Amino acid sequence: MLEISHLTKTYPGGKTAVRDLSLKVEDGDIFGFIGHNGAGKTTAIKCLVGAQSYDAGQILIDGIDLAQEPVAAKGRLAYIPDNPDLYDHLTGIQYLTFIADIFAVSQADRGRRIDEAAGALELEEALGSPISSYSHGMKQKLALISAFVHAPRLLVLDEPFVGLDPKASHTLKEMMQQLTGRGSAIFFSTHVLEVAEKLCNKVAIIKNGQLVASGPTGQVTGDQSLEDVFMELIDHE
Amino acid sequence: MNKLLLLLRVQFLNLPGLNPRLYRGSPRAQRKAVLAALGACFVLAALLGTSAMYSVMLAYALKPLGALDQLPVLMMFVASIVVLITAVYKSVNLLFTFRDYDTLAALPVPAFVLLGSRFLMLYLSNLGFMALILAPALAVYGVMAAPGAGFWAAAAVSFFFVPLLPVLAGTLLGLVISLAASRFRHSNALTILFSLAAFALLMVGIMGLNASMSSDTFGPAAQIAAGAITRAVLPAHLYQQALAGLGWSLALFVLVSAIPSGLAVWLLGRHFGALRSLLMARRIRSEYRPGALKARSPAMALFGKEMRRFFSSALYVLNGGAGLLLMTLTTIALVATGADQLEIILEIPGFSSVLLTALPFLLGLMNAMTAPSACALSLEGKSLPILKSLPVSSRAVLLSKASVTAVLTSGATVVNALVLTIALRPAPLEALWLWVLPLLYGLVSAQAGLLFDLRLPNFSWTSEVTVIKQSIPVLLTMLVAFALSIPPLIISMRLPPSQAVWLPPSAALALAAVNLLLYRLLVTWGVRAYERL
Repeated sequence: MLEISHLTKTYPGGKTAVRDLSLKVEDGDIFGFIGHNGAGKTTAIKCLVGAQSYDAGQILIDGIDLAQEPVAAKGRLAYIPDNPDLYDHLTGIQYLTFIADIFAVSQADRGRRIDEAAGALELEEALGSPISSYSHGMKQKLALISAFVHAPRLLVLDEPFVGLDPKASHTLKEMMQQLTGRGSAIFFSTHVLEVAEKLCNKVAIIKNGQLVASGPTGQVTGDQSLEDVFMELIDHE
Repeated sequence: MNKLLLLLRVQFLNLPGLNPRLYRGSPRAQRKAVLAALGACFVLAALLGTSAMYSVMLAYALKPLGALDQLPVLMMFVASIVVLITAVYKSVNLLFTFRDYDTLAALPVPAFVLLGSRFLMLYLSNLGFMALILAPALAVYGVMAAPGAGFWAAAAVSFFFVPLLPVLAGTLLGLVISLAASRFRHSNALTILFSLAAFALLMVGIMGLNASMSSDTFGPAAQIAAGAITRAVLPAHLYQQALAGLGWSLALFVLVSAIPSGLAVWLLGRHFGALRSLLMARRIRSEYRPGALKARSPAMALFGKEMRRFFSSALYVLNGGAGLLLMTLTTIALVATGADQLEIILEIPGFSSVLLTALPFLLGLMNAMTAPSACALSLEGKSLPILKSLPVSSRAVLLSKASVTAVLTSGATVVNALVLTIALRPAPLEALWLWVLPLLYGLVSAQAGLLFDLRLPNFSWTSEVTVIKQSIPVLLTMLVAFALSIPPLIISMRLPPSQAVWLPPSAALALAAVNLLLYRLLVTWGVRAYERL
């Protein structure tokens, strides 16, 4: 579903945020992407969703080269940034309709999916209100609904659990499992290692822009907890 | 005081492009800064020249009546009205609803200091504006009346206090209007309507002033107006007395300007949080209309989003649509008063005899000044990654942003050209240029504005005023508008109509070529620039 090969991104000024990153996400995977602050997680994610150009490497989304066919590749994925700066001047439903139009979701499908997702995340009563009136958590929920409205093949989330109340977090985990149960894949970054350990069947750990561990969760952790493995890898020079 | 200055410094560093140029300082960045500064100087020089021209005309009308000493106070009053009106629609956004409020409000800084730093920034931007109007007037008076050193000392001191009361009045009025409008369901529409009405009033006032300047009664009328202003408006009276050499008047003027401003900032600061909450409050609607789920194509979805963005902000509408409003007022003036009167209002001698040749260029200038696309990309701000991650081509995104300007200018052209065609009954070819030339100018503005914004974007703004009113792309687009429309306008007025037959088709061909070139640039370089963001 997602294949990243030798991805490298250096910002003007010389800082290499991501260096020679390679990993694969298969259909049905819930893939956790873990790293310290400033490790390059958000940069890598922005590159793979087409929000950021990159200097070297290849990104294939469902077999489609992001650099060669960006529109087709992006049509397969949904992206939720870590701080969803949505369009404050739109109402919730206007934003969802906008996303549904971009992804050419039929009127019947969008209605049904919005109802389902908004109901599950308990946001249906606020959809008629301007996004400027939403709290951070509500914006996060709206962003999630906008992702599920077009049933993506690959869901990319940057710190999705930040700002969500416990019930919404639980609902999101269920929705993620339902999505992958239908054959889609999820790639998300998180600092909450317990969630990653329980939810993800695969993890990758990035340190200073480079991958230091990757694979099935059980294989990466061995007998230790993910936190112990993470601390060991990050502290080790 | 230290915290006030620190907060003010942060606002300055957040001015578009300033901080990166100070700290990155590459030769390329510095070259860009120099070019931008040169462009700004050119525009400022043009504005200063226009202002000086008004002052000279006024001075020559007052001098024979022995009322030349009324010139500074009259121009001070005019400048104050302009500052007041612009402060009405800028102040709320700059002072109360700026984006980084939460971060700043959590700092150990008294609320009135935080508000004071924003007020100071607003004051400083209007000080520059005030200087454009008042400085030439003082210079003209100085040259014609040769006053003593006392005048210059008083003028120099009072200069810094003149904007305070208009800015304060504009802020309070803007606050009252926004608070009142926020109670209504369609508060945004109300604010836009009011802002447009205020701007139209200002334009009608300027047109009326221009019309009266040509008549013999202008001088006496100005003298009477000055007398009324100094009698009715205490600061104006004190200002005039101060310039006449009365030291205590200068001191009083300073106190009358500074104390209310300081008190207001302190008082508003005490209720800063509450005021902001009231201003930011939105009516919560629990349901949405069934039609809200209607499907559209991706292109229409993008265009709809851009149009909603344009109409979501009174500031954006007013700044982006000022040219269209001017076009409409010109059409109304022409139809209502006739070509001869319009010649006087626009201060274009001989305009009535070359009306049908010059009018397409005049309307074209107004269309070219309309440039919402010059800040459309920057206004994405921190939402840009979301837009870039959507399955739409970069070209589609850019065209959707340019389309807003294109549609607005085309719509205004159709309406105004239709009215003028009916009212003036031009010959077929003259009618053709009346429609075609403004449309072509509008397209130039749409594309050039977006290209400038791609070249010099600013996504890290905390107040949209920075992007909509103070950005270099907006300034450069205006420059292009003037450069493309003023020369043919001048030529059209210099030549008799029979000798200017070649002008409209030549201009149309040139504009069509420019538009093609801009389009190619947009879909090649523009797309690459967008993808690099």
